[in-house]
Amino acid sequence: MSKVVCINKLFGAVISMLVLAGCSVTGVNNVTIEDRTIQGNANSPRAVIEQNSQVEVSAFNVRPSFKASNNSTAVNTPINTRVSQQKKAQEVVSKAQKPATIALLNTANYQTNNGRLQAAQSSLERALRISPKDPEVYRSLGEVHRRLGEYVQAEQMLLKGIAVAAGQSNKLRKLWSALAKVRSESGDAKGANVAFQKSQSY
Amino acid sequence: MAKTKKQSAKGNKKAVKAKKRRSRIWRWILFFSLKLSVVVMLFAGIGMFYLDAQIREKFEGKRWSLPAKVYARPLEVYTGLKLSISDLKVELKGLGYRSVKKASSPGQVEIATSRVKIFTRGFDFIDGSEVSQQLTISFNKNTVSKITAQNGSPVSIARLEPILIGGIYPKNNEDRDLIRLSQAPKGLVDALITIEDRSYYDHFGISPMGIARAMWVNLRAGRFVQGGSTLTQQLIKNFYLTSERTLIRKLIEMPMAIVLDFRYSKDEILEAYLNEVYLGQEGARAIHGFGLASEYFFSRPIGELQLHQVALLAAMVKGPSYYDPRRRPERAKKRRDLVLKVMALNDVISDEQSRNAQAKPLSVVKQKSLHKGAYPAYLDLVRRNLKKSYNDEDLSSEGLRIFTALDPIAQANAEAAMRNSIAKLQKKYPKKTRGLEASMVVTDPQTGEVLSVIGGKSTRYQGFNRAIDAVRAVGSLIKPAVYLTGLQSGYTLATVISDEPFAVPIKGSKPWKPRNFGKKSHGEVPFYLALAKSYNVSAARLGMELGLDNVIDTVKKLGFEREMQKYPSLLLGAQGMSAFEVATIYQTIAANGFLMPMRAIRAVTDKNGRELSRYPFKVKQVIDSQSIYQLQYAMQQVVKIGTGRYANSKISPKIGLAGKTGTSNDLRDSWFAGFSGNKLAVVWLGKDDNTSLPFTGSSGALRVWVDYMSRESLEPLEPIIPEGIEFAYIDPKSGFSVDSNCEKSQRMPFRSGQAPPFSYDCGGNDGVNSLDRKTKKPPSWLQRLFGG
Repeated sequence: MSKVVCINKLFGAVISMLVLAGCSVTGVNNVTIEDRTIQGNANSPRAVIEQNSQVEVSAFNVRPSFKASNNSTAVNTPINTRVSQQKKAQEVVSKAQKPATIALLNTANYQTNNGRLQAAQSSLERALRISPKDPEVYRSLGEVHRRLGEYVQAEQMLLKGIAVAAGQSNKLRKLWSALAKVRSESGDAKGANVAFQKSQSY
Repeated sequence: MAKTKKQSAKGNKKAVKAKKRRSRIWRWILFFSLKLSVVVMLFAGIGMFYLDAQIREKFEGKRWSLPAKVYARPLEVYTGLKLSISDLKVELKGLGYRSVKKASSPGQVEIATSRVKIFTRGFDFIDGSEVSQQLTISFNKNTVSKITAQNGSPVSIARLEPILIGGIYPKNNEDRDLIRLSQAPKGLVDALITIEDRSYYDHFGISPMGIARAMWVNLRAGRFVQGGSTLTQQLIKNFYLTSERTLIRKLIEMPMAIVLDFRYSKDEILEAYLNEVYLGQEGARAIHGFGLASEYFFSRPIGELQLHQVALLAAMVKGPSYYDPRRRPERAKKRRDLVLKVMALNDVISDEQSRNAQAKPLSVVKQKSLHKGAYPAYLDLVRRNLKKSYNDEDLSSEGLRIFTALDPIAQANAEAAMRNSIAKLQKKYPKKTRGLEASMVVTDPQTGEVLSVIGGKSTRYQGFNRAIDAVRAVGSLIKPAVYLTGLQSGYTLATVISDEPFAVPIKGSKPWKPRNFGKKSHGEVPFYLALAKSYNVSAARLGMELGLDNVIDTVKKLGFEREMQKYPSLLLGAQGMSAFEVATIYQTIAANGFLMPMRAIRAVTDKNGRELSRYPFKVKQVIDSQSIYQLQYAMQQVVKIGTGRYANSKISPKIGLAGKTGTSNDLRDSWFAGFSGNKLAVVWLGKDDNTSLPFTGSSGALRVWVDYMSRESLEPLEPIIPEGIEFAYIDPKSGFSVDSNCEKSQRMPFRSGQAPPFSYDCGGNDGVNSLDRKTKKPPSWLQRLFGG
């Protein structure tokens, strides 16, 4: 628990800034946000997603145009800079929305790096129950399965991650390149190449 | 004999000779008893050795069969969690937390209007320990808004202990929770020794003084009032000997007690006693040991019991059924107070402590009040899954710990919804609902975990588990699989299909003539609407065109594992399925085409917490995301404008519920299956004798489903738009793409490049006369414009 609390402290500042920043984003139909900007963010991406989920939104906004993030509006720019500065100070990148998910992803990451893969899997399943639409959870689960040598499950986890990451190019890039790695390790050179090409397209 | 005759004849010599003879007899007796005692001692020696071996074998081996313990999911508390204070209270009550003014030790909770302070007990999970700590949880409108630790620092996530929901018992039905002597509160040991065996720490296994005293009391009373048994003897009686009252048993009890006392320390013997003693009966299940008795009577760990409670447990040792505090509260209280008085008399406690404790009520919890015995259908599912990897012997004796995904809150909601809705239906159709039965399965569509199972109308009745064993015709619940097959074979949501009657010739039988409900034909209908309104003829036509094999293939891909009979009638749901099987299929749809095993068990550990097996989250993509995305849209239309509209009137349309009604032939089964972003539920209503119901899927099962869903904190189903999907405005009547300003135009998703051709006059005839049913058309202007 103390670790979790500690993590929370670390993210405290980030979260509070982003909550403030998040308010300024409301009203902008920005589908994808630069990966880094979501770091530890508790509120703003959620608000954005809810907006886009309205059935009656016009086609422009709902289409998953993956280049949208590069054309970010003026309002959005300061957030990016602000948070990327934060990011430099903070090396661990988490893209989860809820602090609980961030904490669990961090715990899982720590467990994975210590070779406690089963424990990591349990932590990630806890994260999954809380944030089942967070691509990062599936990417981490894929990594655990890869380390366990369970390539079929690793691939499926990543595919599930890709499904939930639709419209978020940064996450898709990571997921596809993770898939390329899994495929190449499992001896599927051709599939690995396809996945790699795909990762480069985002 | 002859000698005796001579003696009597010889008169006065008689006395002298008799004296001699008498002394000879005495000598003989003396000699004989000497020999006898040697033999007896020899046998006793052998006997002692034998008893000693027996005692050691049992005392040092595996003493008890420990039933497997089954736990519900632990409640995870984190900021943003949708949870009401009342739900949390129910959870804490199930865990036996005591509501106090100031929480100062584990197992206590302070409840205010918008804040709850919990002193957790901590728990060893497989992936790590959750420490005992003081958490302050703040609520804002049924959502956890903040959690802080005792030092004020924020806590991002914490787990409460899991609620124990049941066990898997051995044949003798003995159940117990082992405790160490150090875990037993001092008051308990004091009370026990004071009332049962005051000289326990001084005697040598038996207490001659005690026996003498008992005999004196019995003699004076003229009947059997007191037994002089020591705790050691009582343990011997329960532990080693059968319950029949034979003399040999009585005779063997004392030497055994002496051997036991000689062999082992007083504390070791006492600890065994604490775990062995019989303290109650719940149906066939026998409650043994103070550890379990504490949970059984007070619903909390033994370490948290107070003086008046431990006194009651000690009081009950004399006669667990005679002094049963639930059935015989007056007797139990009288005896408890006696224990407290005697404790004060012997200066074990002060007079004041004794008086205070005597003033307290028995404070026994209701039997089966909350969780124990409350989930027969779920436990049945767990047991079936366990049997695949464990034998009965291991399950009932090794003290395994089984961690399940059961969500007591979801289960309580499901049961309440079932009760409430069935009562309404019975009121509406008093006669025709006689014998009405029900089943229900709730899962988390994102993880495949089974959250709750209802196996019959009487949810606590342990019997026929309809959720798993009642295989019933699914009716239109099968249709999503038919339409999904269509979407995978080039159909779009706007493809117009015919609802005109038709017949399928069947070899050696009458042709199959599918009919709509109400026998009405709807002419030409768009694909999505045919599903939303559950038209039978169009579904049958579509299915026949796609081919039965392809439809069966889809059903199997979605997760149905049994063989299916290849009859055309399967297109309208002639195939029988259990609610559980339906849930599996719908879950794959809800999870965007990813098949996941339905999991009731998360992990199994041994009694020391070491992992034995785990049932991890697994996924397998079986259907492409684009087809599923379109199907989900059509299933949302079921709720928005179709046969599931009733849901729309009760639950915010923003949730975007998706589902499907099902009604089998002659109204024998009433089904509804559907999901939000975080809950999937399948409801079946029907009768065990297969007679007709007075309602359809819409007017029956859907009511239960809606009642359940409205009790839950729902996450909206926001299907994620996959790559390769585009949107177009469609005129539902003609199936053309039209301008968004056209009246009745509807926006819907298409596979990229499959949007129907554009009509410039809102779907009227503008030169395009016939529509290719499969609309493999050049890209629409929308696509050309935006480069879809």
